[in-house]
Amino acid sequence: MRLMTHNMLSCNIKGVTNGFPLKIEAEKVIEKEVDFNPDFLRHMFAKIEWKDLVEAARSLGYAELPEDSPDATVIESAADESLLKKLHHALLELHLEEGALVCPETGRKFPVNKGIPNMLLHEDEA
Amino acid sequence: MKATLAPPSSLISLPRHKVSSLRSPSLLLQSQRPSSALMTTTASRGSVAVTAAATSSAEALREGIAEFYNETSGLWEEIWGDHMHHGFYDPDSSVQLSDSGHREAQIRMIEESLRFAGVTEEEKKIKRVVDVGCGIGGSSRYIASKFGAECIGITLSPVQAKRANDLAAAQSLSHKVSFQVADALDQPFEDGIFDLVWSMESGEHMPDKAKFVKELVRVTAPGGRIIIVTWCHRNLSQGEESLQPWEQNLLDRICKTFYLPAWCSTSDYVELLQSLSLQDIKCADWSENVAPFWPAVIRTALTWKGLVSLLRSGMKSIKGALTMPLMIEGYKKGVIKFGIITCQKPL
Repeated sequence: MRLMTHNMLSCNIKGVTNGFPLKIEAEKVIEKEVDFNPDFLRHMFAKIEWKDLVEAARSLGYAELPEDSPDATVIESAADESLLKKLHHALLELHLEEGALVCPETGRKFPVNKGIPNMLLHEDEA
Repeated sequence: MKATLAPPSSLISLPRHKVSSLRSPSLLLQSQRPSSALMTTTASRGSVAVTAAATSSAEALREGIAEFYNETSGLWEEIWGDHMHHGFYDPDSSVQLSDSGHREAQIRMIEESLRFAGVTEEEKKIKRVVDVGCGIGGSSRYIASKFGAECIGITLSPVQAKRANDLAAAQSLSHKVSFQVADALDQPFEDGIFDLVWSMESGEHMPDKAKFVKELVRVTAPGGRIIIVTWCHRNLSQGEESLQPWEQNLLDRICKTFYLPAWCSTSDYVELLQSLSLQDIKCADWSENVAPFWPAVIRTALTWKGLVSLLRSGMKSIKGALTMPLMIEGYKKGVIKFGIITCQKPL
């Protein structure tokens, strides 16, 4: 599971109001090289929850992203791609292979096996 | 906001019927389920309470669906490729298509669905897409490539999710698409995050159509579109409370092998969307456009390769194959309809 996906997943247990973002318990993290595509990153930038991404990246051992969200104009400008490359790496190249996603409100753990999160709820949670 | 029904040229006129059969718990319980589940009819018609047994049979259905696709996906992909849905054909086309012709028809189904929903004119606005009941990700990868959008797919089958991710990696689409195991009735997403919500032939698996539609609507962004393409039963006529017993019997036999809960009609979906104040609701009956599909699937099953693969794949696949003529019968007799329902969430 890459962080682009994690940035969208939330805990949907009945009654939970604060199910996002899910905390990450990382047991196995791998890096998969992905072709750098600045246009795609720019296209998606507005939708990314920056602070949550920064924290998630730290859970996977990557601390290069700046704390504060860069201005949209910085991302748009063609000049400096170093920030975009860090974003690219955090968002798309870090993969949680084994571990769990933890609901911030209930502590419920959703397992991640072979890179696939299992978000199925139990009967009493739906 | 008042929901408006905008009739395109292909819209069939929907007979009005008072009973919305899918809201009654008895519809939840009257379907065929895998034999291991318990059936109960203790919930009275019109009551809102769902019994504990009904809840566990929903669990059993979920497991049955997962196991079915765990077992049969590989076989389907081997023979038909990565799109697990009907092809779209010109009606009355008598030309017998080659394998690649059917593959193209499956792509055409995606394109026709997008076009029907009015999505093709809005490419730049589509950034995030969810594929509900994504199979091995054929639609997701296609749509992500087409719009340069991010697409997330959900399926009950871990085998499908893994295969879908592997195919994405092989096609260098890992940065755009990802797949996870999740329940369409309890989607692990915040409200309103998807510009396009896509359900291609998965609605028929949902035991609670009202909950299913509510979830689809919940995760749609304001201004976003929902596309549901699904197997339905025919619309009920005025005064009809349910299908004829022989019709129900035919569907029940199909339900058992394909792990389907009770069927509903296209107009049931329209009513649900209307009740949730969606706008620009459109629907159509594409049964004529999918007529060549099941005969083609049966033909591929009867080839040497098909038979050998079926035998290797297991009982669920074999039973599924034996059920396919019932699908043809259902379409021919007007019981089964191939429906598309699309709408837009108000801003």
